[in-house]
Amino acid sequence: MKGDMRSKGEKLFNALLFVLGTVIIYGSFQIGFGRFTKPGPGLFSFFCGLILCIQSLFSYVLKKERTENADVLKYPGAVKKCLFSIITLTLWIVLMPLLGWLPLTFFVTLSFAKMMQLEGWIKPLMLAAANTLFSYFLFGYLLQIDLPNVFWG
Amino acid sequence: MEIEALFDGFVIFLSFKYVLACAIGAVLGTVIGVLPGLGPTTTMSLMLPFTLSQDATFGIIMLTGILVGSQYGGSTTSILVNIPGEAASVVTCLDGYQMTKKGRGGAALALVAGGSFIAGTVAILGTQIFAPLLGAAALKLGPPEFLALMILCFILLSNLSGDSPAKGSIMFALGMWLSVIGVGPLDGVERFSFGVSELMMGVEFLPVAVGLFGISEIIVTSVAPYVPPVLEKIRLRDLYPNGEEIKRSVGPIARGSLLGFFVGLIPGPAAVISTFISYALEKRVAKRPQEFGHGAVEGVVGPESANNSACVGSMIPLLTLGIPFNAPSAVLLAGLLMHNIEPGPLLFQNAPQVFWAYIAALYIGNVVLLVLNLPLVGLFARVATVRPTFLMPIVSTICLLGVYCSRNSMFDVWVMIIAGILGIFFRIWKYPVAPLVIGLILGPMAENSFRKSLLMFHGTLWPIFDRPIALAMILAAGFFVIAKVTYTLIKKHG
Repeated sequence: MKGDMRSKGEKLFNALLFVLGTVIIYGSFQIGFGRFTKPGPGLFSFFCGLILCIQSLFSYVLKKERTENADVLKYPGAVKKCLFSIITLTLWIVLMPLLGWLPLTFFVTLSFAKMMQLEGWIKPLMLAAANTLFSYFLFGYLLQIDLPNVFWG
Repeated sequence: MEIEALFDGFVIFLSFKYVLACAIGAVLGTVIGVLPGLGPTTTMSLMLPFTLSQDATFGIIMLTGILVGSQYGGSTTSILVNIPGEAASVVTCLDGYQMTKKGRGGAALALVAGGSFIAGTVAILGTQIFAPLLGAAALKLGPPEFLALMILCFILLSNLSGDSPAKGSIMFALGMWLSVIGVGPLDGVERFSFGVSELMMGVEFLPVAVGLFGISEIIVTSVAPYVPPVLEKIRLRDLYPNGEEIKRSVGPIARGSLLGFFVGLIPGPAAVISTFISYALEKRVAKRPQEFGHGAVEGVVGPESANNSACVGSMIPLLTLGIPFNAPSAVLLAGLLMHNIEPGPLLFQNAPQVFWAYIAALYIGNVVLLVLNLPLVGLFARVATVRPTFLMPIVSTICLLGVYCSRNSMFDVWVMIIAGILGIFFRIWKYPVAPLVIGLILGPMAENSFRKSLLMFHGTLWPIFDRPIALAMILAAGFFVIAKVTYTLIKKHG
């Protein structure tokens, strides 16, 4: 019989799903089951939590083979790029009250273009400028959406 | 009566803005189908906020155009470059690219376009005939039948999505739990909002879908090195298939059209499943099965006809029962709900114009796609060579701005980013995301039918088995589970 081939990350992820299931079950108890003749607001979520618990436990105990999708994180610098992407997206939200949406659209496009190794600085800057103009035309002019402006609002 | 209604549908459709919606959807869908990575679900989710400034008919026409267009576009790169633009075109690579290597790529594209057109038309006709009938029949269904249908959906989706039923059911349960968050509509009780005021309104569908499909795709694409595809040039005169190829395509197109339509009525990724079944079927009935994998025209036109037909057919459960059976129809449902239109049995009474304009749009969209795909095939194939370096930075800002502007809420953008991060882990460990988004949108209906059934039967669910339709659905679910377990055991023990 083969040993457990799964990575630590996968097992941890599975365990976390089990914990989430128990939290949902506990939360459902707190909200209230009611009775079967008069079901309460926690009854349905209890069954969701129960399925989550049983199936994650089932996966944890019985599934031993490695299912890691090798395509995603096997490339050099992959984790760093993932983190960079997430930080860039988060900065879009955090800096919004300070800078407004147009400079941030420029910043996000430029960051992603550089991260994806678009050569030099001229092409990324041109792409960022073109995308900012396009966004302004689409969201600001055509759809007239009220987006946070800072300098020109 | 129905002809009259369809005529009215054409009259509604033939206004400038709906034709524009159809054209935008068809072109965008074809381009997305050509581009590897961004699938129809991501694009439909991204376009959802843009449809909000228009009416529901505009929204449904554009979103359906994207969905059907992506099925057309996906075949182009599969045949010419050996890269499937989206999942439903994977099978087409097997023989399509081999035909290109033999110098018959143009003929393959022409036959696929023709086959897809015929299959699409058959499926539209089927929808036009069956949807109103099913809608009328669905009016007689009560909460127990809907509960049984949810159980059937849960079993089939868990088993047909991803590599393990356990993972599929985990994702479905997770989606349904997410739908519970917020103030409950039945009793006004706050559930799982942990004191966060934004969560009291519930978790919105759009940020979750864009995060899981869009953001995770952007991040994963940015990580992988880019390998430029090698393009075969196709001239207009190359597009003529010879007599033998046409003769060999007739049967597969007819079988693919019918098969795809009926597979579309089953919960799960219908377009993808239909291509695999069609390929296996064509190989079995072919006079020269040894040609499969070496450029058999039947292996290209059959699956491509099936996926187009399945794509249209999969909308019937959504329109008649209000239940999406796959991720793209879940997005379509979200779009309709955002426009305060509730699909389901009452759609034909409350908003018949939406349905008939949708049917008219499908007919005309199908013609638009045929006209677009034949002469412009070279241009669309060239789109596949656009580097993600240019594309993904633009898509990332559309995700951010699109999600923000749907409710003017920065909280939704946070939800999108969190869903995107989770989406990466789901990809790494192969947890299918489609059951999660379907669970999220089906959750309220599932809870409603569950609680109403309990109230109806005074605290027990056994009387469900006394109702023939509900019993048939439960039996179908049970049969599927037994078949799956038997198959797994036979496979394991030789």
